[in-house]
Amino acid sequence: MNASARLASWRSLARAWGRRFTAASIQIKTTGITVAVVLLLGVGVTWQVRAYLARELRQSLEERGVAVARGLASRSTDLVLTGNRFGLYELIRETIETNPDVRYAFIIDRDGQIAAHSFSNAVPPDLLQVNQATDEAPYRIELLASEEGLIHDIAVPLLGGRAGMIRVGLTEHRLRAAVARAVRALVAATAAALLVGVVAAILLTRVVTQPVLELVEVTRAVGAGQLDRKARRYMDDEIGELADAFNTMTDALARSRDELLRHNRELAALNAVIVAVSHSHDLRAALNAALAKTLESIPATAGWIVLLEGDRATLAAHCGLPEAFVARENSSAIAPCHCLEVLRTGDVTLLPTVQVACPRLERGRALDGVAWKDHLSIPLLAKDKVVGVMNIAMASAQAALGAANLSLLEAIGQQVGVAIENARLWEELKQKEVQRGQLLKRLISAQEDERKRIARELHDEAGSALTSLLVGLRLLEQQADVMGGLSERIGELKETCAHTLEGLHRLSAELRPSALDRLGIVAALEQMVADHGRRWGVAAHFQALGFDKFTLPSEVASSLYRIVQEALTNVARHAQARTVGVLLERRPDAVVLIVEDDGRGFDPHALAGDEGAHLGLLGIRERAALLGGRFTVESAPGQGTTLFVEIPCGAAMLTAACAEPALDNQPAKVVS
Amino acid sequence: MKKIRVLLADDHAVLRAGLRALLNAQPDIEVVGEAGDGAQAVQLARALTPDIALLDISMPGLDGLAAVQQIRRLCSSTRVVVLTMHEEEGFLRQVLDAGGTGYVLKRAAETELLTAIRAAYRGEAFVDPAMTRSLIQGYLGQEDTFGQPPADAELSPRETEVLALIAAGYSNQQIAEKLVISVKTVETHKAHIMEKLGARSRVDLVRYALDKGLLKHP
Repeated sequence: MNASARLASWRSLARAWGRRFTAASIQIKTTGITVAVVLLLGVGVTWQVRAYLARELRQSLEERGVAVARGLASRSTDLVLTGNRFGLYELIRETIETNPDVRYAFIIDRDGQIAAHSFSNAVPPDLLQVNQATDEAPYRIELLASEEGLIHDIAVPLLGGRAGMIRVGLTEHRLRAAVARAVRALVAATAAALLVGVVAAILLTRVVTQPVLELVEVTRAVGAGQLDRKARRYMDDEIGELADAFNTMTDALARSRDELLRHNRELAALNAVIVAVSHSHDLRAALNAALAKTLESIPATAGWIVLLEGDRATLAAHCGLPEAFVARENSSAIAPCHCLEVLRTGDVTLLPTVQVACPRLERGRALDGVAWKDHLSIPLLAKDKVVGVMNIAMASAQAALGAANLSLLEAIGQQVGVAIENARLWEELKQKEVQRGQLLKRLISAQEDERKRIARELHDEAGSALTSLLVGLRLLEQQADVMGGLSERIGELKETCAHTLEGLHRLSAELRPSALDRLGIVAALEQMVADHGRRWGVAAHFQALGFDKFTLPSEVASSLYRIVQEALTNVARHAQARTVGVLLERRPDAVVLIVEDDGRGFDPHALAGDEGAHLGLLGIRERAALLGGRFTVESAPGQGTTLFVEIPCGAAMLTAACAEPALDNQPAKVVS
Repeated sequence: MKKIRVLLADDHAVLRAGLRALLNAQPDIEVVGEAGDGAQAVQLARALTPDIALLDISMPGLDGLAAVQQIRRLCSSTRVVVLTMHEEEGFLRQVLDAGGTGYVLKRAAETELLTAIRAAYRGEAFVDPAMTRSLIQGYLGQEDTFGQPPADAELSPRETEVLALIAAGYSNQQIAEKLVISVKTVETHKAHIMEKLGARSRVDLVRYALDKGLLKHP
């Protein structure tokens, strides 16, 4: 457990170092590796050389020591035997002088006494104890640790030990100095190699990374959108090939970007034109906006749009042209020119094209200071029909426009053409709608007037005549009392007369109730709802809210009255209702009329089935719409039907009701 | 015997002639003057001070109603009986408001007119039976439309909210939008409210809301 944890921690440490190493730049990596290799080599060689040299030198030192000791022994034997101390001293002195490595030498006679020695005072006693030579071996070497370092002590017996013993001590002083010198030389060599290695590594990585770094920098620039940046080719190696491939790629990128941008510009221009023409129903404003956008996209500074209105060509929009030129173009019959010809003949194949030396611009140059000579003509097409021409003025040098641009202009021309057509249709529709509304209004008011007239005629004239007939018959009856049989006949006539009067009254009330004009909408509706209930045997309720102090404008009142009439007729014919409710409510800004029944209902989305009810609802919708009102039906099979009519009617439109609203605005009666 | 002096005012000469013949044929009635419009009627009433002024409501110039008012103001001894084609209660109310004593429909002229004149002469009000019938029916019908809701009828706050909007004339769709609920939920609420209140129609709901002060109207 513990061991595996340690292993894991080691691994993670190794990974961290690995990451740190791989994250370093190439220069640091290369230099680091060079330094490490050179150092390793230097240290290893120095180590090996030092060990080897020390061993070899030590061996040769010992060999030399043995030779010196033996020489000393052979030369000193006689002197020892003769007891020539002086000779021995001389011999030792000479030996030390001729062998710088000899630290000391001394001779022990057969009695174990020091015969001669090289020490200034006496031979250290502990030195005497060590390295006792045996008789068998010719010599014996012992290493002694002294204050002056290691001493190789060599003992050589004299005459097999019978004559004494020679002891020679060799110091490693010179040996160590030699080894140290060698090590210093090696370290110096390593340092030099390291320097050279580092410089070489830096230079090499420079050579490799410089182009790569530059390539990186260029790549970043390209990434930021500078597609014109090129990578430099330093050498004909792999990096050079990479630079070439990179440059080829950026060239391709730049080309496709330019293509895209051009497409984008074209689309943006087209879009701008479409937005310009579709945002306005005003044709002139739309054309001016479209022209401005087109000029912006080319770019050009001046242009105009010629439309064919009837037989006359007019300058419908212009931009950047002198006012005088425009006025002249619009005031007089325009001299024939190619684009007008196209307009008249509708020959699309001639367009779009560059018009060189346009006669109109020529005249403009002469009279109004127009700066251009040529123009570009773009057909404005609607359903493959030329409805106008968009001309863009240009200096002649500019005239050679690319084919791609022409196709864009063609597309713009089509859009503008469609917009012109739409605007015309829209205008036409609007006019028709207005006319329709006016006609309908007039029709309705004429109908109301006519009904009013007929109702009054029936009511007053025919009614009075019948009444007088009735009265006359009554008189006749009184006078004819005596003549039997006749009074019965008169009674029958009176009956018929009264019946006719009643019918007349109902007819006139249906045509135009005098209550509406004389008592106001609330009383009229109340009467109508009550009559409806009586006539059809259903529970009919009416409630008006908020009309205590106000009355409605007469056209609103008649419309609401007719709407209720139509709605109740629908209820009577189709709903099979038991209860009918009519509500008239005034809100601060509107009048709301609700007609509700609990009949069989219907699906408002599938009205087509019942033509009569459908037409009735259409009539209601139409009347509400003419007053700017809104009509809503809520119904479902088996759920009854509720009609909502909301007519905007602010307080300003409501007239304060007087005590007798009918008296003041009652028109003079028609007496015929 | 003193005859009832009657002033005839109608813009139709034929009718006036017929009426004059009828009235003059009565032993107790005599026509003292005839007017073709309201202004003339007022003028003659002032000059002649008849017992009864028999007026049509619809007359050119000064309207019949205005004539009723003026005659009542200027010669208080003259009682006004209106002879008219109009069967709407509103007219009857206006005539009574203006000070008229009798209201006779033209279609009942030959039967009710004489009764009305004699009644008015006696100082009694007279309304054509056809009208009283409709008046009474309307009155009864009005009473009948919506009885008091059950005493234990208690609406939840949400139902009260929906009721206020229904009464204010909003469609189910509009209410659904205002309260951010579904149309189905509005319909369910409405059905519950109708059931709780015993209401038969939206009109009943409006009247209830009006009664409870749920409506704020200008």
